[in-house]
Amino acid sequence: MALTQIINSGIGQVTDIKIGGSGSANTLDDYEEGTWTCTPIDESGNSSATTATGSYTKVGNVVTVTLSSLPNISTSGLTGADNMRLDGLPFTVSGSVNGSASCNRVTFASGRTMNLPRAQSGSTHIQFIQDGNDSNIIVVTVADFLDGVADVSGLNITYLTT
Amino acid sequence: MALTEETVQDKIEIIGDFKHVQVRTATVIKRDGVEISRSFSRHVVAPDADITGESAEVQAICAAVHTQEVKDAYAAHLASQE
Repeated sequence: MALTQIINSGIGQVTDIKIGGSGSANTLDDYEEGTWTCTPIDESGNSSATTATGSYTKVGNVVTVTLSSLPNISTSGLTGADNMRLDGLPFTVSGSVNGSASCNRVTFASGRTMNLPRAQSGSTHIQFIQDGNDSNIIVVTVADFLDGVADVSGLNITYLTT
Repeated sequence: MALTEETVQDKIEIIGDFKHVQVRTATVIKRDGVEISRSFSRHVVAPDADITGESAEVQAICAAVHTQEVKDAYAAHLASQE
């Protein structure tokens, strides 16, 4: 792999790094680190009072978000039958993808053995799906999160953005 | 020596078919007027989002791009994902 071009555009800033070729597909044109605020919401957009700050790193069109802990999630004001969403991803998701997280005090449907966070295509939120048997996946609802005691920790998802 | 901190929305982008408005907020630390640190936080305003807490600039952009047609298309898209 050959580093073929570096263009300086100011002190401490380099843009348009081409690696292994000269095309746009070889160009590393973005790198950014920062924080995002995670807020549980229902499908109508009603927000929980529980929030937490996570971190992100974006390299090119690949975004990795992490969240250490979202404890004691209040579902007050949310609609129980709606799907639970964690809103606030720092970039729009291009193509649904699963990540990993621990979910405590979240009700499992019959036969399901795992909760997976899924960044939903075309959105800025995460839903939780339950899997673990040969049936279709189930999307976790607000009511599945035990009010005031459920928590999510160790969240990590890498996804593509536009 | 004077240290100051200011917060500025330094990048606002309109992304994709559903016109998500991506907002980057920078926290800038300056010493005697010279920037010594810049950190970022981000959020995205979806077509169905409550924008009352957004800046006037972001509200204006959302009002322009989040048409009813876009909102309806976004709602249909989300429903198709369930």
